[in-house]
Amino acid sequence: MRSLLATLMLVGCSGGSPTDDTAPVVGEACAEPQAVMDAYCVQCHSQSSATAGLSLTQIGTVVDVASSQSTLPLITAGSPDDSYLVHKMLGTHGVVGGTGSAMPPPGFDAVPESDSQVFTDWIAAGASCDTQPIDDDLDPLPPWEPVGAPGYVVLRRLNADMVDRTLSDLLLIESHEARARFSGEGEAFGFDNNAGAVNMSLGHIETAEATIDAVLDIALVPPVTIESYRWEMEDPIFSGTGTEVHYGAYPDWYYGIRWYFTATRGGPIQVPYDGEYSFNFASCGQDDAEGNLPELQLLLDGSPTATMVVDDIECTDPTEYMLTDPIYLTAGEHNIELGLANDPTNDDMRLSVDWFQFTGPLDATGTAEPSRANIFVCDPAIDDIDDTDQGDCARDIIEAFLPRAWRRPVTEAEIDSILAMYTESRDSGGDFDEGIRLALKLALLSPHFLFVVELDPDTTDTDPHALNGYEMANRLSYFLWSSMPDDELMAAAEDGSLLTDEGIEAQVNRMLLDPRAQSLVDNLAGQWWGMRLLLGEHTNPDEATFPTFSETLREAMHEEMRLFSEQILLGDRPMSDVLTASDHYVDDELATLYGVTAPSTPFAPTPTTDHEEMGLTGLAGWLTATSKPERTSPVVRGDWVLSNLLCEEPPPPPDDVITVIGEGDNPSSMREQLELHRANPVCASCHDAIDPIGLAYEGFDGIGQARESDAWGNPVDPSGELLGLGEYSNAAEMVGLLEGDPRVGRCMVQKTFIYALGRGTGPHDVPTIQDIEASYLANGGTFAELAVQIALSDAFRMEGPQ
Amino acid sequence: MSRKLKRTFAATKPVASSRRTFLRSTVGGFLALPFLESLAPSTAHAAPGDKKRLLYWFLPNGFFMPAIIPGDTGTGYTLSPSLSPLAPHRDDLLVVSGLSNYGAIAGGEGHDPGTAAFLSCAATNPDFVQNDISVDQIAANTMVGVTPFASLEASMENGSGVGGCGGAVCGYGSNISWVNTTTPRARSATPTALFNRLFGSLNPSLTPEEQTRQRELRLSVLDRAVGHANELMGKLGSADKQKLDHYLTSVRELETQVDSLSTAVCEPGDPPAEDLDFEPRMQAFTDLIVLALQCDLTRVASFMLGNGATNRSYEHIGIPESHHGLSHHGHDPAIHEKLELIDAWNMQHVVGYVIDKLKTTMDDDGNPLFDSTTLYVGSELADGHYHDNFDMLALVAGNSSALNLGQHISTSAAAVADLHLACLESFGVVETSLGHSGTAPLAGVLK
Repeated sequence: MRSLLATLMLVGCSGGSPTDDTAPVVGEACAEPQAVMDAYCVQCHSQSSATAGLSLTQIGTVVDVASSQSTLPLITAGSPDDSYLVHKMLGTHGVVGGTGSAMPPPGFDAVPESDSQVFTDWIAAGASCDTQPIDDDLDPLPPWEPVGAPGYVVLRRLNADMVDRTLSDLLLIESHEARARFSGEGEAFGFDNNAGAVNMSLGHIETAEATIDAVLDIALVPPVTIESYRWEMEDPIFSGTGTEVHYGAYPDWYYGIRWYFTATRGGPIQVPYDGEYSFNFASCGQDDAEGNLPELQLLLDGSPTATMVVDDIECTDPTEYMLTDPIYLTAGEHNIELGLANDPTNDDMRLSVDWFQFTGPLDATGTAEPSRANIFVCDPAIDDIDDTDQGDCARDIIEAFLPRAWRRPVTEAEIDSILAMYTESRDSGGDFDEGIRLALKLALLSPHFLFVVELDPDTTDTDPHALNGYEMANRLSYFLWSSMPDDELMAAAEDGSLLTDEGIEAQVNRMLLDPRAQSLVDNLAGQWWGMRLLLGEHTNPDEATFPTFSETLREAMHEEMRLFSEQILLGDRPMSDVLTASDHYVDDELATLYGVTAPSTPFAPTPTTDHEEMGLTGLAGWLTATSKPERTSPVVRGDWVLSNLLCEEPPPPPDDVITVIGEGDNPSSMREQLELHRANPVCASCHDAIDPIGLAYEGFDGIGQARESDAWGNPVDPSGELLGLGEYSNAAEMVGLLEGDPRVGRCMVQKTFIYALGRGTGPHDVPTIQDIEASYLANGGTFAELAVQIALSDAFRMEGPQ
Repeated sequence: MSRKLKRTFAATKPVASSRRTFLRSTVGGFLALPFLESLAPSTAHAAPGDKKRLLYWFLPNGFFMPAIIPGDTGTGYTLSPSLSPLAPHRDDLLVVSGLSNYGAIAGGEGHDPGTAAFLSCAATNPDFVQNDISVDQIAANTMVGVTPFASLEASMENGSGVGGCGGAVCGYGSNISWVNTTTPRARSATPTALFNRLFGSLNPSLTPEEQTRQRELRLSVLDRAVGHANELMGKLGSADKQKLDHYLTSVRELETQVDSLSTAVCEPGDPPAEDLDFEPRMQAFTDLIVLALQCDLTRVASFMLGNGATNRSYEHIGIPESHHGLSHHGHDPAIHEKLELIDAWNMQHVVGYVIDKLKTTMDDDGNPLFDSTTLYVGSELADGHYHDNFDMLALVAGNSSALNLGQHISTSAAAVADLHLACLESFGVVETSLGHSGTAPLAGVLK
């Protein structure tokens, strides 16, 4: 097989070294058509590169399997006319409503008729391949779902962002604790919410635990009440300096401080909260021969803070004094010292302190923070609850908390299982707060919180089943909010309206108006439209080449992308505006970059001159994120557009390619350098599609500024031709041509669908995605309508067998 | 998945499962396996003075090969230009060249298959997540219950490479430590995160009794969460069950870790500063990993200087271009020079730093940690320009009682996996297979 491949190697996207795939042992029935595949198709469509998601290494595995480009199956046994691969091979794919190019792609020899005949004859004869064994060294591809089946979403762990948003909504705090701890989530199909890629290991569970500990610290902080904290001077934490007199006849508390040498008595005290405290003490004293009264000095952390005159009183009956002005203390340990403030030469003077106390913080209200009050439906720290009744209070708290945390109704047994943790803590000597804290920690560390759990009502049933209302509520809220359902959504789950079309549509439209829908801008657009790429460390414009680039400019670019995305996703705009809108939102720095006058309000909508009608790709942030540090990269830009706006991800470049551009003494223009590599047919197979898109943006430099000449002084020529779509003279025209490519519209739906469900798409999803596209375009083509149509699809509302 | 790992150990000494939980846990057939595997009898490392350590240092983007492979072989070898900054350690180094990572080759070659196979030597699948357990995790599995952390994983970079990963599966290019066929180990991506992982649970202001009580309660929370998962298991589809099994395994591993975290660890020192620059950040990671070895918090660790194909620039030595971009040097001598500078800097400041640190940090038996530590250094590729996973170079250092140091072994396409098996054996664990191609320890490496 390998020798055949070597001699017949005409088609190649991955060039260079021989293909790495262990060639399958082909059964006799399909050996001949497999040889045709191996000769013309497999170098790109191998199991390991699987260009466009298609592997043809085992032709028997694609019989009666849906295509991702057409409603026709890839191969329909017995009917070449209904086999999309045949149309691709003959170039008639467009006639039957398919997309993409004829295969093999332009620049390569077509399959000779004698060989294509072998292929069609085999299909006509029934496409039998039943003797084709699976090679042991190749793991089987995932089983294909039947065409149009809803598919299934594997048990999905909340990613770090979802954990933070959910904890914020659940606990009424603002949590960044998970994002601060999780070191990057697994991604697949372009998003980090993919159920298969967001995995679970020891490190993840450690991180989840640390996150939960941290948020409970924040959420459960006990209510602050005004308390008096009293210290007796005989407490062994205090000690004296200088000359200290203990009168034998008096009780232990009677620590006198006689002024002769510098003498104080003091030690460390703990202050529970920041705030103002009043200061009291009980003291007695003895005046000197001239009748001067002793004066007490209070030193806090070594600095004199207050003085107060003490009367000449018998120490059998000390008097209580209070400072008129309160003292501000920060929470934590402070060193306090008490001493005489009088003239050190005065030998007669005596002063003694019995105790002192701080009372405060004086502004404490005695009420719990909203986050605690939300959880503590009863609170022994505030209410008078007997020890014997505290167990009931704990149960009340858990009964209220658990259905919210687990986002569904809970059973009595489940409440008991959480309450048992409270009881264990109390039995081991913990207080009420500790018991509740540990019970809540268990609830949050449980798989019912950390995963979006969708139960299989009958694991033996091989038919798809409808999700219940609560499961629908969770799918909707993690799609539109990246967070838990709110009360209204839970109510809609309970009353059954989430099982109806009208109910779903009403909730989607309501949820998109909620501030939580900003998560779509952060996560869907953030990943799909390159906003995170802009912020990532790989986007690193070189200071010497781009002296005007700064971190504030990067932030402004990001803000413009954010506002742009918000307009498309949450404004009443058609999705196609992503491609062609002229929206710009600029501050001073961005205005300079675009060469326009800055608006009086930063980031007000501002028309530009050179960056119009290019949609997302006219934004400086996008143009920067798709450039190399020192120069533009038409390849990166073209590849990005193909991958993200046409959903046609080119395969990685082959080995031994030269990607260094612009080195040497006299570099030619980017266009010439790229043309040079397209002269190589192996490169051309992919770069014929990539480069004409990317070169259209050559009128913009590595930070998105319009330019007339490139980095090497060559004049820029942004004109070109998109194969089958027509000629363009600049980027805006190129984008306009792209709009006519049916793959663009399809891709909008596919990307959103992948994000919405948290799973990749397969051939079985093609009819679903086509239906969604038709319905949302018929209803205005906005993101809101797209979200509604996705939510109404069987793929969203049902779960297939696993 | 179909691969059968036959696992034997150099010396066996049963390690008792220290917690009731493990004995009374009721889990069904296939679920119990990963955990029981991790409880397998461990090697007799626990005796003082007999501890072995295993470190893996990953330097992305390959090397400029002409300047790094020594021209001569054997004990009389001369350090190559790029390795010359390691001159003080020449006699403590084992340079191995001509290696092939057959798993990476079978996985399609390049940065992503090479990075994922760096320690697993297995073929990755581009369509769905499929790798195999990595050699550090095979070692780590023998440390469960022996040290508080079976292993540490740290990386200078988050996330995956530029512009996605060229396929459906991302993450291959940013993970070298794999627990099983589908799950990479979560990495600490900042020194602060690593510090908190190591020392965050200590509260020295509590009495020993209170620390014990709180640890028991923490274990009870984890134990009860396992109970929830076990109950849930029967109500899920088959794919969900596998996912939940990862949760179960992870929580149990955490229980083991918490259980063995003694209250008496050595001084953690101050937490590392936030927002450190490249070099001090790398040093802070190294310091923490070496400290963890010294405190016997762990004996196995992996560290990534960057993700495979990283675009990091070496501006601090006057090279502003992306390292990945440069690595496709196109036979341009000016770029060769830059790559050589980067390689030499990495050798001096990254590899040299950890070796110095290991040589100057003493074990509790008074010997330098270096004497008991096998340090493996390598990259995901040979020459970045060719994206090749053959003719690769690796450095091994330390652990002089087990390793034949001070020489250059030039192999003829030996499997990296076999070098890994040798390093693993120097740590005390004998394996007869690894990934796609490992069969036996590479000849000449072990004493």
